[in-house]
Amino acid sequence: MRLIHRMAMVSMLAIGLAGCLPIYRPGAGTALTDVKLSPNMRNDAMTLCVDATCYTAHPRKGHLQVPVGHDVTIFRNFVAGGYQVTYSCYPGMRFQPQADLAYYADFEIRADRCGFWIFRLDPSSRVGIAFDPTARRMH
Amino acid sequence: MTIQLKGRAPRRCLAWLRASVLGASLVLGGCATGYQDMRHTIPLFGNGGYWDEPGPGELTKVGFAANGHTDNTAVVTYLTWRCTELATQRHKPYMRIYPSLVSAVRDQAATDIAVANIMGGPADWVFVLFDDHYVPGDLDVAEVRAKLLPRMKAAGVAP
Repeated sequence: MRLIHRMAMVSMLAIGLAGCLPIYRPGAGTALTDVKLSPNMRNDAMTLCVDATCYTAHPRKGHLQVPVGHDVTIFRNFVAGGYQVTYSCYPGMRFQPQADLAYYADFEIRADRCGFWIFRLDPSSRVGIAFDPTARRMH
Repeated sequence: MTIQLKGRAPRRCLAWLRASVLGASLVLGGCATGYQDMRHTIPLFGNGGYWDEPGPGELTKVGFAANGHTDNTAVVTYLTWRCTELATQRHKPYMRIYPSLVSAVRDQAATDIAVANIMGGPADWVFVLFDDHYVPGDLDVAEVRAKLLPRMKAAGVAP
């Protein structure tokens, strides 16, 4: 069942990359929480999957709103042009947002590899974040 | 942005233009990346330089991107020097370097910076935490600057 779920999400991601996904518009009364995005992706549209349904999500001022109490997956759709080369990667993280928490998403490129992470915001820590036990890599 | 030629230019003029563009490309593209703020470079020529961005928490992400003519040692030197510059600007005598956010959450500070290729040129980044007082894992900013100074002088950056 989990494999089918994953395959469905990968298919949806492929559709999303083709620009065919609907824009995410949470219904009235949907409980949301905040995902703060690292500065290197604060203005970029992403693919947001809620349970097994995927959408295109547009951040506002570096923040993304996600529904709480669901399986949420965020995919970073990264494409950049170099000299005669196009670089692209689509890393994702799956997690279960909670109403009383806010989150931090970080995108990294090192050694031509993409990394995408979801952390909990933790104001009590100097580094400002902590691991989220529900977060799982999708790449 | 492309150069557009309107009308029919004489063949000699076109040949001169091609030679000029080729010459300019060789001059601009044949140099190693120097110590410079990446925001002031023209991305078209890929000169690179240092950059930094805030967060999360008290962390600052600091990076240096260079072209293919720059060796990794220079990138490590410039990236570390930039971290010490930020510490000096903030009047912080100590700093801690984390190679990633995961290592920052685990409080696993690094003593060395490893440089890899990103998009065709040597480049890397680190997360830095600045301290007023020494904490185990911290680097002494003055000591690091003293160690790097000869290389920065040789590169024509430090007086």
